[in-house]
Amino acid sequence: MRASSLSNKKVIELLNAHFLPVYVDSTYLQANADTDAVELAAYRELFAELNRANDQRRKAGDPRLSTGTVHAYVFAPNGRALDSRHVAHAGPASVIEMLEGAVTTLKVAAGKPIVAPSSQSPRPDCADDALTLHLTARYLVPSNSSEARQDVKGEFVPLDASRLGGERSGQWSALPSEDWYVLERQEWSRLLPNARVAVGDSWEVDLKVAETLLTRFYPTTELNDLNKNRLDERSLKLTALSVEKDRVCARIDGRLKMKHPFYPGRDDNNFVNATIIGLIEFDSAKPHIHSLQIATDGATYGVNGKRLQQFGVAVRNVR
Amino acid sequence: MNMSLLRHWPLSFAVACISTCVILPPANAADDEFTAMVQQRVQDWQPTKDERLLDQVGWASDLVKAKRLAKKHERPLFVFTYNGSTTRAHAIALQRC
Repeated sequence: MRASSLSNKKVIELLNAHFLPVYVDSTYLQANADTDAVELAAYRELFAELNRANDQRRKAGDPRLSTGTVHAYVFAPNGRALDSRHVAHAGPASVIEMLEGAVTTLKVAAGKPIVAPSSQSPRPDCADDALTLHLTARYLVPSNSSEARQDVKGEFVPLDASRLGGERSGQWSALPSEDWYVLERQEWSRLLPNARVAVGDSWEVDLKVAETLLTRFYPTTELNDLNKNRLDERSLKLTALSVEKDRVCARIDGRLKMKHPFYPGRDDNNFVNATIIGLIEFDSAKPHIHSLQIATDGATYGVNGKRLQQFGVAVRNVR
Repeated sequence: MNMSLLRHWPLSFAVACISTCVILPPANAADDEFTAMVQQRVQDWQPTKDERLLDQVGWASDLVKAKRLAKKHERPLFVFTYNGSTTRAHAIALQRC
């Protein structure tokens, strides 16, 4: 739905002008009942209301509202359930019909968004001396594909985003996934050499730090529990390209072979295979990392011997 | 200062330049190419504005707040529910949903 209705300009316009939009991760909420008890209670109230509305509909001989954990719902300001769509039936036309229906029924005047729009993947708060990394993972297609972005060079390139927001934009490979991670000082300092280096000197990164950096290198899947990943091969080697006083620029070369199941609770033999490349610029005296950029080269995901999907991961530090 | 070197400075400089030019350019060119490739790739693969249209919606930060604001401003509540992750809170941009 993120790639179809929630990327549709008409849907966005209706949500901002007439509704109070919110999204809820059903899985997270139910797995973390202790920490989010109030939010979980509010979530359960929605389903109690949906059940009540469906009882009434059944008695009246009206079709019931679809309910479940992957849905789009509309409730009146007083909490009364009005309409719903399962995500499989929540293409832009259907969602627009649901939203416009509610606006007409409730006679909702148009206005500005109640909550100001903002990034839904904001930089996390962290200590001043921490290294904050932003990760983008995306599926890639051959550059001669009709779905390929034309402004990017390479054998495999990102999908053309102008196709988003349509009835057939809902495929799970349509959007990149974004993630953040924070390396505390004691972690990022282990990327740096133990002694002064000269141009051409190389050093291996501590395996634990390499694992921390690389365990998120997988394409968009339904599984994001990092404990389920098994890193069979991971290495990062840094080589100094230039040294000016204490400022060092080094290239990064590495390898990753990681088992990463596609679905939670369902084991499979999907593997990530990737060559890793990157650049790091640091001050060896302070020490301080000025910039870190890492990308995959020729990364694939899938079951070996079967069709493998090309994907790419890009990581950069953000201040 | 070595005066003899200074006297022959133009020649010394020319020899040094030629040596440098002979030895370093291939390595530098390869490094430059590598550096440019990494930077370009990281830039090319960043999410685009079209891929972040979700950010243009004025989402409430949580359901409790959304319910309260919907009532206060007499607006209908739009709730999108998805199956995300047991371990990653507020990570819709990471999820397949």
